[in-house]
Amino acid sequence: MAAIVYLLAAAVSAFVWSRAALPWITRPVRWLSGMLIMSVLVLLPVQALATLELLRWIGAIHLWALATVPVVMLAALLLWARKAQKPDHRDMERRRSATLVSSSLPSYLWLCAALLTVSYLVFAFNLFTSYPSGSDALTYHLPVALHWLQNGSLRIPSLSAWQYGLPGNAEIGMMLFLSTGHETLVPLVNVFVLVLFGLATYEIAMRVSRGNKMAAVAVTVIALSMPIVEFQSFSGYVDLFGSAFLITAVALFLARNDGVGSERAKFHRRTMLLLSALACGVSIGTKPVFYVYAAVYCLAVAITLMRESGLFGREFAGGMAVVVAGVLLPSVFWFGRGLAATGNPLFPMQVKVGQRVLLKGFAPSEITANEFSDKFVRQRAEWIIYPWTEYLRNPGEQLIPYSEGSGTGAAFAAFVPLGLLFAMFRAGSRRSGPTETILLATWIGLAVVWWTSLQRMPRFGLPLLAVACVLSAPLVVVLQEFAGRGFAILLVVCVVATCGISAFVPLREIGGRLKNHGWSRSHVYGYPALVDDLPPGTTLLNNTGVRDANFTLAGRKLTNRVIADFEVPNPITPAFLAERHVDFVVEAAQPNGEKTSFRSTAQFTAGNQESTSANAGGKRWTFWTVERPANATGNRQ
Amino acid sequence: MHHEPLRRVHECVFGVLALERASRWIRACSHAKDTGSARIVVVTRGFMPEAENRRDIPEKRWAGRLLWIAVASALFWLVHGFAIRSLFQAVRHTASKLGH
Repeated sequence: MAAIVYLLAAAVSAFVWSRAALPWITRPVRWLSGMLIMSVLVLLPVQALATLELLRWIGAIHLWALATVPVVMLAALLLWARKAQKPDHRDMERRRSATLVSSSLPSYLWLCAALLTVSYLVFAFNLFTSYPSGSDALTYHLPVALHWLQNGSLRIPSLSAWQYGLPGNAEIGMMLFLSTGHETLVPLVNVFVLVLFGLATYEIAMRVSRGNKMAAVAVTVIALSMPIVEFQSFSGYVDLFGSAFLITAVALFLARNDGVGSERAKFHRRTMLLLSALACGVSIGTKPVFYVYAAVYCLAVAITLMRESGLFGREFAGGMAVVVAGVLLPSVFWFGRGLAATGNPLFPMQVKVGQRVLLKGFAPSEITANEFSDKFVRQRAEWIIYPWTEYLRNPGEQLIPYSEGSGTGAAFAAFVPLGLLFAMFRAGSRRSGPTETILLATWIGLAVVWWTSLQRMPRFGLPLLAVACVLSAPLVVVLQEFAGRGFAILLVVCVVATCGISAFVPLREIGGRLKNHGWSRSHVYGYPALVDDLPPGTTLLNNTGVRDANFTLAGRKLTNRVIADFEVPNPITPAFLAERHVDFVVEAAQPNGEKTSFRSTAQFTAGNQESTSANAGGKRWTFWTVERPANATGNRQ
Repeated sequence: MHHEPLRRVHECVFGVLALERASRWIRACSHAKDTGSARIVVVTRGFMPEAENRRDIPEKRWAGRLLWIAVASALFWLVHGFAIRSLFQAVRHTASKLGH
């Protein structure tokens, strides 16, 4: 309940503020700004209380204490909005003139939008009749969020596990939804950023196509039809979260001069710069992958401001101060937390120059193996034709190569690579505008970085995929204007094909549950139902070799504490079990008796420990009871 | 009052507002006696030099070819890609499971 009050108060505050303080901007930019402000209002109070907890000024983060912050802010905002100046007449006229170009959309775009909506609704129905899914989500994103919630702290509990050291702006949202007790709500974090992703793509496409609404909508349809986006929207992955805020930063930066000519032009410009930088900051606080993108963003912003106002001008210094403050505000907590725990602000990332390690941490290849991305292609040269092949070595039970980490879809394959070539031709023949040229140059540079430094993971390149869609807007303009019917038919066919393939996955899952009547959590996740009946606070150590069990063993009410497999030492010692107050060590074995875990329990199971066994998910699960030493206290953290 | 924006509309060619659509929009503006907005929009959203006459622009000549390349691209995805193939495989697999 506290989380719902907190989120609602933040949403209303953001709406009131963006309406009162940003009168000159167009509706999509106002929505982008409002949603960004809401996100910042949600994140900052949590980070502030977590900082107090890190400093040991408070014992733990309490959600009701947290909820009072946006409620007080909302009251203050309402008072301010009543007294605030009425919008400048010219501002209103400018906004009206910009929004009046709302020529009605052609029927094929409505059809594409309807097809996409149906496809997304199938995913939503699957989610709301089931539980959150996704390998990385269940392995560490959700366990980290649950750990924070159960402990009231965002501390790094174990330096041997990089999973706990990652920045976690997205996980803060997940934590708030987990606190409602309805874990199905967790992916709403990604549904929220999906809207942001769509709006930002539309807004940038509008600028690249010089205000052609139909082209911008078509480009947005192509971007939203990408399976990687659709699957991430209903999962606990965080790549869409970071990407959405990053391209929001670009969209808001491009809107910085929309207030020029107004009496308050300077204020408008600074406000948009701040909002843009805040969006970039939220992205930085999502995942280390976005450090690279953010560095390029900051460089591009600095060069643009320098060209607009000169290197030594006060305008440049002021603008850069606003940008630095905005970028750091939603992200500095994570750097401070890493610094306090390890002396390395970039923890869990290792800082290395040549062979010399300057700051200890994990090498990128320890977090994501260099060979990991090879499962998307048969040989590396095939990356250049990935949009057409969409190969996946092990598509799993679903047999479909689309997932949270793979798949760009038919519409992307048909239009975007060609659109990129067309954009390059336009830039070469000096037909493109400055926004298009700079975006294209940045895209090419970042594509090289993605290949060399981001392990060639498709989902790590999600911002690149979005910008590639945007850059195909000039091609879409030409096709719409001069080959309209053919373009319409091709786009609809591509969207039908992609949505059909994507939606098959949730449809098959829904059908499977209908057939087997498997609606319970234990049935969906494939673990023994006895886990749901354990007393609240029971601590289970996951030594099953089933990575998803890091989250699923928390039980239906999320009241069990789980020691995740990535923080378990090998061998498991009685001292470790005593230190972490473990009640049960959980193991699993294949039907042939072969254990699925790799950590040795020889030291622990040598005695006559009691055990309970149960079958679930095609495995035999064993729950070893851990005897507590007589002098042990129940003093759990 | 309407002459200036309408002249600009005739100069507004490829890339922004199609001629007919822009004219329709200007008519809507003039009905609403909002020619100020009309002028702003036409100027800010697509004024192009007269040299780029709608009939002469190369993009118009390329559009057909570009569309055919896009169609070929989609066909390559259809034939060479794994997505459609795996969909058929998954449908067959599901149907056989349901049969049991």
